[in-house]
Amino acid sequence: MAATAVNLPSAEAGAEDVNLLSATVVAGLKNLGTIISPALTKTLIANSMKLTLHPDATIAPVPEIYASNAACAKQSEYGVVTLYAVATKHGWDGLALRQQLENLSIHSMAVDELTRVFEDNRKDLILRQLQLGHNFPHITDVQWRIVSDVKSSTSDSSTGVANFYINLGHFRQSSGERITVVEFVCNAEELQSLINRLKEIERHCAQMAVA
Amino acid sequence: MDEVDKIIMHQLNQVDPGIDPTEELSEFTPEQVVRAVSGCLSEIRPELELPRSLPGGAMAQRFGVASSLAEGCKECGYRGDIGYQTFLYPNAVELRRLLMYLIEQLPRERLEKEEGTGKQQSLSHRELLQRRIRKELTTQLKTPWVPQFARSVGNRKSMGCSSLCIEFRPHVNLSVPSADPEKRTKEEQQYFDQLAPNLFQQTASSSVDLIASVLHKNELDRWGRELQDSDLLFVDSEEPTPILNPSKSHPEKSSSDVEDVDPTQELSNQVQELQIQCETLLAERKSHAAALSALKLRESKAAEEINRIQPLLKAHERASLVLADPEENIAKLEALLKSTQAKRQTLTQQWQEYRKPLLENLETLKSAKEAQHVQGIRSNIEQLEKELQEKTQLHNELNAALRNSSQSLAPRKEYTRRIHEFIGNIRKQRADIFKVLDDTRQLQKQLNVVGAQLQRQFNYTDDLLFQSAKHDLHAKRAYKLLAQLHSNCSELVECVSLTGNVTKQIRELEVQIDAEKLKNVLTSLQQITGDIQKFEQHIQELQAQIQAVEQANRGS
Amino acid sequence: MSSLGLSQQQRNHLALLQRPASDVVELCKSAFDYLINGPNLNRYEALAIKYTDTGDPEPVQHAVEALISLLISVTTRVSSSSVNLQTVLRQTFPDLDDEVLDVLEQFVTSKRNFVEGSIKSANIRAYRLVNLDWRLEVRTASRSLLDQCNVTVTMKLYLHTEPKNENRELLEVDATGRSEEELAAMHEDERRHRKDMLVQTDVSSLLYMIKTLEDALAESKTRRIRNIVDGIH
Repeated sequence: MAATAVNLPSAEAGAEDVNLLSATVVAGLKNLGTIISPALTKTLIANSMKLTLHPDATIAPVPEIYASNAACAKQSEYGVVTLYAVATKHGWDGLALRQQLENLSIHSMAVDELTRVFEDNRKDLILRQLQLGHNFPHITDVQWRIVSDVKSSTSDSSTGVANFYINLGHFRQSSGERITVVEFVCNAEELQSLINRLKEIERHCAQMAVA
Repeated sequence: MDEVDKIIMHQLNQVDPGIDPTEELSEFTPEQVVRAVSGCLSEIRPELELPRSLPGGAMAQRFGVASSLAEGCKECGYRGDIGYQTFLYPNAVELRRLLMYLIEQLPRERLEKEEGTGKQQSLSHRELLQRRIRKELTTQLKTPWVPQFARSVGNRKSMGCSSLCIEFRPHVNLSVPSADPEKRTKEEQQYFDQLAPNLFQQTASSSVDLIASVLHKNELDRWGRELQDSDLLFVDSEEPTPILNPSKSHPEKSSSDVEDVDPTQELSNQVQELQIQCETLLAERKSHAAALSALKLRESKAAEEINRIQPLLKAHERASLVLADPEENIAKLEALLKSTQAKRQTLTQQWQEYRKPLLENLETLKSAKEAQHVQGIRSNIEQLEKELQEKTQLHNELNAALRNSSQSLAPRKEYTRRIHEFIGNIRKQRADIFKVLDDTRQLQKQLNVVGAQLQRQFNYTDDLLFQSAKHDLHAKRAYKLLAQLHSNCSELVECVSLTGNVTKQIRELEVQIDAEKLKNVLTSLQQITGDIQKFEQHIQELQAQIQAVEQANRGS
Repeated sequence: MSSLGLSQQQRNHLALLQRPASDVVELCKSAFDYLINGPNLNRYEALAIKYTDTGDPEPVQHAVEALISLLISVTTRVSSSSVNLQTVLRQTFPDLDDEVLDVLEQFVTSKRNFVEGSIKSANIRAYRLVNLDWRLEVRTASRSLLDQCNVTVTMKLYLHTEPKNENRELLEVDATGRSEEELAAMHEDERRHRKDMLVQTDVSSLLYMIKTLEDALAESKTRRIRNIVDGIH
């Protein structure tokens, strides 16, 4: 099923291939294997892929890429990253990518390497681009505590009821730091109705999954 | 219960057209039960191999079929009391419960498919999407929870969402060497070779995203190129192109490269000069073009004037020729006039002669055509009348069918009204239950308080009496009596709670008895005894056969 | 030794209580009215003409206000479990007869919940969850991925700093028959006390949330927690 969905755009892509990549990208790709040596090409592609997939991770710089012809290398880096981004965006598979590159008459060694790396990392690329876009604060974590007052400035006696402090939040991916999205108080009755409401969502989802 | 039965029968009829929707559930024979249940089961789980009908003859086979069906129902998740007896000795209450469960489990798609027959061959995008959503939901509902930081790894296989969200925030001004190296100035080339940060350094800040930036720039480049092409078409005609280049690539550079101010300043000054120059040249060109077009307009006007005047000139020349010798010329002209008139008369005569037959011909053809037309309309009318009759007939038939069908299915409004009623009742009952529960809780609380108080009191008294019992004889007796009292009282309490338990059990048993009574055991028992007798008969027959065979063997 | 700690001034204001029980009932009713609608000078004037020779509404108003302060101090100082309200009242007002004390006790107990609701939770107001709307969403395409199927649950949380029973009234507000200023004031109030949050989650996290919250609820019902809460009480 997924294969048919992917094939559709790639079949159409032949007609509009040139349109999807800008001249700068094409020029950058053409440098690979020609101006930039085959060995350096491999390093450059691998490095670009790593930096694309792990934007927050600290990855050791590879100075030899820029040792000679730095402008071309910079252009090629941009070309490779853009190529992968566009390919992932339009759901190309390895074959479609190869076809595109051959239409652009890229150096054959570079085509092989680009396709291989793309196929190896396609899933990660899709996952990476799936995360990109507009989102509301995403809740993945719940913290709670039960609180009961003993005495307060306005009342000498305790209310004698346990309250819940519910804290919904998520973790920052890079640092693991927890970010509170919302915090509120409720009593047992309100908590029960909240749980019921959430279960209603779950039930609805289960129904959608079956029907 | 009637409506429920109606709905059940309607659904069964859809599953298996062999089941008539007018039959009564309470009068189902074992054969019908087996047929209905196995029909439903094969819809729910087509992979199960189930017998479709109950064999008429041997009890053992009937038993086997019934137990395999019961097994199938259990596998589908039915939790009620079910076994071979449900099928062989059906009773309406259990059967209703079972069929209601099975019908609820029926796959919905079947109904949808039936509605849209003929569209099945190719799945539309919508259906595909629905399937994907369903799949995604099922996996998410089933997969165990994974902590967020492990999700990118944990959900990788299923392509599930890692629940990490990145805003689409592009770096709007990425500086990357442009496509054509020849168009770059020396300074630019040097800048890109040495100073310029690479793509990843430019997008390292947490406020922008690499992929977003790249996609943004790619689209901008593609879009921008088209725009510039149209610009170039205009400028190309007069201006040399190179002058445009630095001005195009320069802003990018100046914004990205702030630290070395001097060359930039110089360059920008230069560019500004060139731009001003360019502008003045363009303005000049514009004014020249305007003058040119004005001149062209005047030229065309003059040519027009000339064309208009020339025929006039010719006429005037002729007139002056004629006026030179008036009398002779007038006579000549009169003779010419006369001859021309004679010529014209003969021509009209000829025309009339030629025209007459043609007119007649036209007349005849016209009338023939009209007659044909009328004929056609008439036949058309007849045909339409026939069609009308057919349609009215069809309409009547359909009306009758509609009436029948609306009668057979109880109106939806009625159902909803009833459902509302039920819901109202249930709500009322729930409130009552809550009330009772509250009362019970209150009572329990009081009981606990009193019990605790009593316990404390007892302990205290016990202590007190024990202390004094050491010295006082009466107190000793009192202490003994207290102990006895305490044990008796606790026995009493135990008795009361036991009684309560027993009453509860009695009530449960009563409910059970009522339920059993509903199952009309007596008739089932009769049936069972009948079947057992059949079995015995069968066994005896078999034994007789065996004996006969043995004797035959011995005889030989 | 009054455990209610009324000031001498308040006691003076409550001098009007030394009247027949029916008059005290009138006063108490005025106090109820004060709680809901604010002061009503015409009414006090009418009462004053009945009670005093001068017809000065001021003592009546003072009495009504003192009654409310009595109500508040009874609610905050006398814990709800100790039922001997009557004795406390008797200690406070040794010179009143039983009938009037009965009326006072009724007055204090009937509005206890109202006062408790607004006072006890009044000091530090955290946001409470009032309502939750939800929607199941599927993102089918985005600028960075044209073909996808990303299921999210989007929820809108309605948070409010007011205690819950007062919220209900706010939620079911009917705009008919209210003046522009009143409506504007209400909106202003909502802006100050309300917060609506839009959040989202995935189904798997939703299940986890349900489980965690249920655990919390179950934990609160254990004997241990109950003992602690009762002990504090």
